Amino acid sequence: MRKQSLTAKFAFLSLALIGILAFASSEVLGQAVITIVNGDGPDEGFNDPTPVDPVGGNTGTTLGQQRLIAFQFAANIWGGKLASNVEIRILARFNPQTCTATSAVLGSAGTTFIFRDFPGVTPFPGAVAPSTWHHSALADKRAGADLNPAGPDIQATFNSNLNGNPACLGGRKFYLGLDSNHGADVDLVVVLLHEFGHGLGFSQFANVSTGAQTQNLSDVYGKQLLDLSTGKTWDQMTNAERAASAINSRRVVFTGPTVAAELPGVLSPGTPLLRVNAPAGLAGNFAVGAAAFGSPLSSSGISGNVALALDDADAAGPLTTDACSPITNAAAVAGKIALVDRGTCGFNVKVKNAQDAGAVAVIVADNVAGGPPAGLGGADPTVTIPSVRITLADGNTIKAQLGAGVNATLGVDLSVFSGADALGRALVNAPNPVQPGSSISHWDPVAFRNQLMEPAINGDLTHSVTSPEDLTLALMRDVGWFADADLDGIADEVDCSPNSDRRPTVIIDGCDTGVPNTFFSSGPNAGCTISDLIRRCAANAGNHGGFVSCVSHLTNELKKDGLITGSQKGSIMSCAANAGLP
Amino acid sequence: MANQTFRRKLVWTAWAAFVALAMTLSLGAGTGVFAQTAHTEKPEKEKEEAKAQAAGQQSAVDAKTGKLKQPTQDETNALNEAIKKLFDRPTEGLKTTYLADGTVMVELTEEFMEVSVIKINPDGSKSVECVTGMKAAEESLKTHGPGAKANSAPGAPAAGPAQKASIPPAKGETGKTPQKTSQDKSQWEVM
Repeated sequence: MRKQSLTAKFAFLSLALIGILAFASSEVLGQAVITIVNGDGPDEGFNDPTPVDPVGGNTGTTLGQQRLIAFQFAANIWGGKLASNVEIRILARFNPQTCTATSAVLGSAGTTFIFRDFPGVTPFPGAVAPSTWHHSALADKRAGADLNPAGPDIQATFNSNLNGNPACLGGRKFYLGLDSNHGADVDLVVVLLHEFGHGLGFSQFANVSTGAQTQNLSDVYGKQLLDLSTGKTWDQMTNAERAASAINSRRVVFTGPTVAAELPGVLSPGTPLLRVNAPAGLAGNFAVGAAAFGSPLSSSGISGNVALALDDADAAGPLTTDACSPITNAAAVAGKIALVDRGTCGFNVKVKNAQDAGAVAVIVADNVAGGPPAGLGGADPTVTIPSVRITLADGNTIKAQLGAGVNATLGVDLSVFSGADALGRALVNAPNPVQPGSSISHWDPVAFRNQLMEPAINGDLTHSVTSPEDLTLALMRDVGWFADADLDGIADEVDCSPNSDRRPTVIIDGCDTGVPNTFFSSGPNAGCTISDLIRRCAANAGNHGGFVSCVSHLTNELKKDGLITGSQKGSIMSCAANAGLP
Repeated sequence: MANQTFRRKLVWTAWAAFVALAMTLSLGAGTGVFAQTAHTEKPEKEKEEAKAQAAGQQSAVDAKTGKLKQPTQDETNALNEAIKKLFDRPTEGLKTTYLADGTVMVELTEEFMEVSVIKINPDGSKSVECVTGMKAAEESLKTHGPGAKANSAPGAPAAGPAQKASIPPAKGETGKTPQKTSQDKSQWEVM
C-alpha cells in the first residue's frame, strides 16, 4: 500500500536536478539580501567625512557612515521579512534638495523598473498573472533570477541639507539613530521603511488623475483594489472608472486575503459614523469626521430627529444655516440633532450655539465638494454634546429629506475597524480632489493604530512592518511576496519542507552518503529534497526499525524512477542502518 | 533620446496649457486672476502673495480692485487641473525593452518616485507626508505652505493626511478605541 502510494506520488513528480548551489545565493536563510549601493561622490552624502558622535545605536563615526548604517538598517528590516534568492540593490544618494525654514523635501524612492510576462525558472512561479506589471525586486523574486542585472531595483535620493543647518527646518535634521528616539528630528529609518515599501510593492502605476494605466495594463497592486460603488477591481475598469474610483472616498478597499486576515489584530475596533434610520429611502451609514471637542461618540450612540438650525444672516455669518449666531428656531432644534453648514466661523462656535438651543448633537455639513469628511478642529470646554462633519453631498442628501422626517444616530460602530470597511477590508486612501502620489498607493489615514503606509508618516510609528503593529508585510504577501524560508521558489504554505535540508549530498545523522541530494520541484513532494524525505521517515517512525523500513521503501521508489542507482541506494541504506534515528 | 524629447515635449505642453489657462482666467470674466498675473502695485501684491502662501492659502487677485481674495471654487479647480497636467505621471512613451523570453521591462521616470516632504506646523509640530514625483513635491511645498490646512480657505475641501479622525475612548468602552493625539488635533481644520 505504501509502495503504491509512493509510486503514485513519484509518478507525478517533475524532478529538477537543481544544483544545491543555486540555493546558496542568499547569505542568510530565508531572507532577502538588500544591498545599499552608494551612489555618492567623494566627500559627499554617504562619503561625508564630518565627524559625528554615535547616536541611538548607530556607531558610525562620520556623517556619511551613519547615513549608510541607517540606510542598511532599514534595508535589513525589510530584508529580514521578505524572502528572495536574488539580491535586491538600492541605488542610494544624498543630494542637496529643497529645504526652507518650515518645509523640505526629505527624499524619494521607488522601483526603477517594472516587469511583466516574465517566466519562472522552475520551481519559481514567474509572474503573478499575465500582462501585469510587477515591481523590479518582486519580479526578480518570482522569476528566481535577476531580470536586469545591469540596473538597480530601487532608487533612493535623500536630502543632504537636513544636517542641523538653522536655515533648514530651523535646525531639525535626520535622526540617524536606530532606536526610534527621534524627538523633534525626523526619524530617517521610518521614512526609509515607508519609501522602500513603495519600491518593493506597495504602489500602483496608473495615473490617478486620468485613470490611464502604464501601457494600458494593470499591476499587482491594482488587481486587488476594489471599488465598492462599481463592484469592479482596478484592472476591470475603464480609465474613466479608475479616475472616478481614485476619488471615491472610503469606498475603495484592498482585497488581499493576508491583509484581511491580519487586519483585526492590527487595527482598532471602532469607526465613527452617522447612521440614518429613517426615512427608509435614506437609511444607511454616512462617513463622518469626528470632533476634537465636546463629548466623544459612543458605541451606543445618540439618536434623534434631525433639524436644520437657523440663525440670523449677519456679520458673524452670512447664511441663515451657518450657526455662527444664536439659533433662532430653538424650539425646533431642542432635543434634536442640529444640522448646520460649515463656513465663516469656527466649528466650536456653531456647535456651542446649537447646544445653547437645546440640540443633543450636531452635524456640520461641508460647504464645498470633497471627501472624506475631515475632523472638526477647535476647542471649547463648555461644549458637552457630540458633533461630526459630513460631506457637502451627504449634507444636501439629508437636507432634501428633512421634510419627510430624518431620524439618525451618531456613534461609533465597534464592529467596524478603524481603517476598514464593514467586511473588514482595509480602506485605501481616495481623497477628493485627487492627490497624485498620495491617492490610492497608501492606506486611508483614518486607520488606527497608525500605519507605516499612510500618506502621513506619523510620529508614533515604530520600525515594525508586521502585525500586530503594521499591515505592510501582509500587503507584500498579497501582491506576490510569498513566504519562502528556504528560498527554493516554492511558497512555504505549499512547500513539502519549508526549511529544506539543502546540503549537496544526502547526509543521515552525520553520515555522508555521497548521493546527490535531489530536489523535487513539483508534484506532492514539491519543495523537498531526498534528505527531507528521509528526515520525514525519522519523524514518523516509531523506532529505528520503522525508520530503516521507511528509508528502504523510499530508496526503492527513487531507484525505480531512475533517480538513484543501486549503489547509491546501498550507500543510503548503510548510513540509515547506522544512524541513531529516530 | 526620443523618450527624453517626448517627455520634454509633454512637460512643455503642460506648462503651455497652464500659462494659457492663467491668461484665460486673467482676461476672462473679469472676476479674478491669479496673483502671478497681476500687473499693478506689483511689489505690494508679491508681498501679500508671499504672506498668503506662507499661510498655506491659494490666492487670487480681484481684477477690479486689485486686492487679494480667496479664489473661487472654479478658479481652484482650474488651478488644480493645470497642476495635475503638469505633474501627472506618463503612461506611454516610457523606455520599454522586449526580451526574447517574453519579458517586458519598462524603465520608470522620476514621476513615479514616491517623495516624502515635511512641513513644520505653526505650533512647531511636524507633518511628514508622501507624494509622487519631485515636481509634485516641490509644488506641494509651494502651494500648501508650511503646516497649512490643505486649501485652507474656510469652506475649502480638506485634503491629504490632515484627516486623522481618530476617536477618543467613550466612557465605559474599552481602551482599544482609537485615541486622539495632539498631532491629530494640530492638523484639523477649525472652521
